[in-house]
Amino acid sequence: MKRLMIICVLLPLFAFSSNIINEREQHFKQGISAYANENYALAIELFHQLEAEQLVSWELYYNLGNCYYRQAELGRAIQYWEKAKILAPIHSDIEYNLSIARERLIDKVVLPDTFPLFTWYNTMQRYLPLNITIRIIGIFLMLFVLILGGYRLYARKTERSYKGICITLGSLFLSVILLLTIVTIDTAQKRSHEKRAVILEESVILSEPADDATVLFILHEGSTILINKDIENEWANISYFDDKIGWIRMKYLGKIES
Amino acid sequence: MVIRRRYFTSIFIFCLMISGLWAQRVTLTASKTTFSIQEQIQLVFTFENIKNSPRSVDLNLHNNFTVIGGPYSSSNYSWVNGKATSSNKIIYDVIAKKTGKIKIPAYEFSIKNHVYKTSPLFITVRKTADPGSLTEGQEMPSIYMETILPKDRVYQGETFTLYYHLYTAEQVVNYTTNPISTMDGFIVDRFSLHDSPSSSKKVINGREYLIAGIASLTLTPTESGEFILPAKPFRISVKRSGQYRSKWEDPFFGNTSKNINIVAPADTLTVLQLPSGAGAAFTGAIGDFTMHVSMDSTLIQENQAATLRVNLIGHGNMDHFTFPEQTFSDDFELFEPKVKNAYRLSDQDYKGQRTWEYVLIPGKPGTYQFNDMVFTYFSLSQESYKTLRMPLKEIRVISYNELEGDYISGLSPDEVRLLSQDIRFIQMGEKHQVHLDYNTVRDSRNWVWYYLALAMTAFVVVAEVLLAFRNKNRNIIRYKNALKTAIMQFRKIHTDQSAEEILTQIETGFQTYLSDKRIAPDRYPEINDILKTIETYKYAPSNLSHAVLDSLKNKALTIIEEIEKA
Repeated sequence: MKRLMIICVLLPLFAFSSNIINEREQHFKQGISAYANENYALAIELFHQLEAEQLVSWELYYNLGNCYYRQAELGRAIQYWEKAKILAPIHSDIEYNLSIARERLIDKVVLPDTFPLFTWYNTMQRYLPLNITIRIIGIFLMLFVLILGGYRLYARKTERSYKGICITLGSLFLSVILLLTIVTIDTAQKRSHEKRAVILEESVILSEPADDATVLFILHEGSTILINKDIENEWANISYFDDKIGWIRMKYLGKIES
Repeated sequence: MVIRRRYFTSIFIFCLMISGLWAQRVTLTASKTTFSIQEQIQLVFTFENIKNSPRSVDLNLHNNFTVIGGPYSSSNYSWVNGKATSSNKIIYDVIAKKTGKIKIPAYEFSIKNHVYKTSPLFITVRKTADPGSLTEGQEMPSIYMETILPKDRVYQGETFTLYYHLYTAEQVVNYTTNPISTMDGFIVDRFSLHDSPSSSKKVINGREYLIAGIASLTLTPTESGEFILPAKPFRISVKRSGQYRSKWEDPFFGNTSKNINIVAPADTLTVLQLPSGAGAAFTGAIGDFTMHVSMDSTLIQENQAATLRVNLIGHGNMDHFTFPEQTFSDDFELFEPKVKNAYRLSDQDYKGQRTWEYVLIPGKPGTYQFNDMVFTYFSLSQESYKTLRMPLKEIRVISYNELEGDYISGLSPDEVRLLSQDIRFIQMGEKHQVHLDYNTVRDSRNWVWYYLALAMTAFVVVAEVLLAFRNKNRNIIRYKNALKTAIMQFRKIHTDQSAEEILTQIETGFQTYLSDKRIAPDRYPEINDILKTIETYKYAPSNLSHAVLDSLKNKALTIIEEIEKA
């Protein structure tokens, strides 16, 4: 009787949630259909409706990026592909589209070569999927504890000491865990503090948050900048490749990190 | 009398003078007058009783000998029967360039208005290394060298490698030689002394030799004609034979190797001229090659660079030629080709590939066609000229206006190519959705393994603590559980067991209880009674009935109960 009651309560809930999922799927398909029919404005509207439901996916952001690219809104396209990249850091389609978009950028900065190890580390941080590394560390920890526990049990049972093997294996696991943890923490901190945005249209960067301030430099659509701080969501202090700092109106920026 | 004495004195002084004059002389000797071409000999000039003798001699023996050491000098001064004699020696180490009977001419020395002359010296040089050339009674040397040429005749410009083989019946410890950096008529590509050569064994004239190619010389002839590749001296260290019983008897105090100078003989080589009719596309390449040509893009923007790559793969004299000069349309700005070499010296010649990269910058739009890329080389396998011909695709050069969009400034050829491509198609469905404020680090699903690891750690720690506690308080635990253990033991007794088994179980249970409780058997008289009864029953357990054993068990349990109560 009790079970029947539980089923009676849960079944409508399940049906309701599956109905929501189906509805979302339908919506998504409508967006694809609009895109295929080259009705990019409609596709953007439909995909944004899905975003408004507070549920997102890298596929949704990716499709939005594609729609904006077709609408010749390079800045928005880059913004959404970058958003997709946060959720799926190593997906080749996103990286490919971004590479094509970057070729269209007007502002091109060639940075001097850095020490190869730093370059490698930065690249790794850029593509590192945190969810996977966190899981890997967890699995390694689990294995470490299992090996340690197993060793203690076996040694107790057989009264034989495998100190050398145990220390070597333990050190190896601990080293890997430690290294991965440091890299993961560093990457996570960097990402949590990083607030990137894309220039949505050609904008002047000013010396102070005022329209009549001195123009420091101009940035064109699609350039990615870092937001250092903002004033009442109106003005933003930005950095462009670390050395160029100035103020820009927030409306010209498309935030990548929410 | 006085006149007579003066007469004898004069004769004596004259004789002394004559003898003194006769003692002043120069001689030329050789350490050996008959030797093999591989051997090194010493030519010694001895100046006897001559002051101010020269310190070196102009030997002028280039045709027949190569001087490999000297001049070394030594002096000797001695008194014999009240008479002083002195001698100075000038010594040269030489090796013969050819076999046969060689005459070393007489040398003249003019010292303080006196002219001294040596006698001519006749020397016989034989080719000992060849077993066939040994005369009867002559023994094969225990160690000698041979110069191995890959072939007797090569073409001018052909890279080849000759090897110096060591034949030894002794234990060789080390070997050294001076490197060869130049040679008349040849480019010396490489002289290599092999540290760990491969070796083989061969029996020659009944003697086993270890043969090793200890050095190699890679040459490229620059002239045609007959050439003598000179003999090459080597210093070989061989292990001394164990003739001393201990190292204390060894006069060299443990220095267990000795050095031998051995010469790899000279050899003749014919360098042929290349046949005529090579053509304009021949730039001296000799060997065997294949050619690949590629253009990085066939559609480029005006004033942007396109790269033409010509890749030659094969073996031969890769270090000694360049790619034939190419002509392109005047509408292209052309730079010196960038050459990338990826070849190395193999056993015989150079092996690998060379790439020439031509950077072409079109000045104006249009469609351009190019001449075929042509390359001629002399094939060693077919001994004739071969021409490789590769056609080039036409290039379309577009103007700025032909590109769509406003983002065309400063594009490289790669960027132009990329612009001709499109973005990838949209995704057809969502596999996994997350909340808009999704944070990977905060996602509890990612931490499942940590929870498991934590639980496992807690389990291991608790187990460790419990086991440690148990080990530490083993006796107390046993004391506390004594009754339980005894009852468990007694419960195991079944009626279908044999009397002997039941008796053993009763005894074990009872004894374990006493041991766990640390009770001495003489503390209670009943305990002794039971133990004695068990001992008695053990003599004939098969005669015991189950009722008797039951009574014994109950008795034991009663005593345990009493002890517990006490």
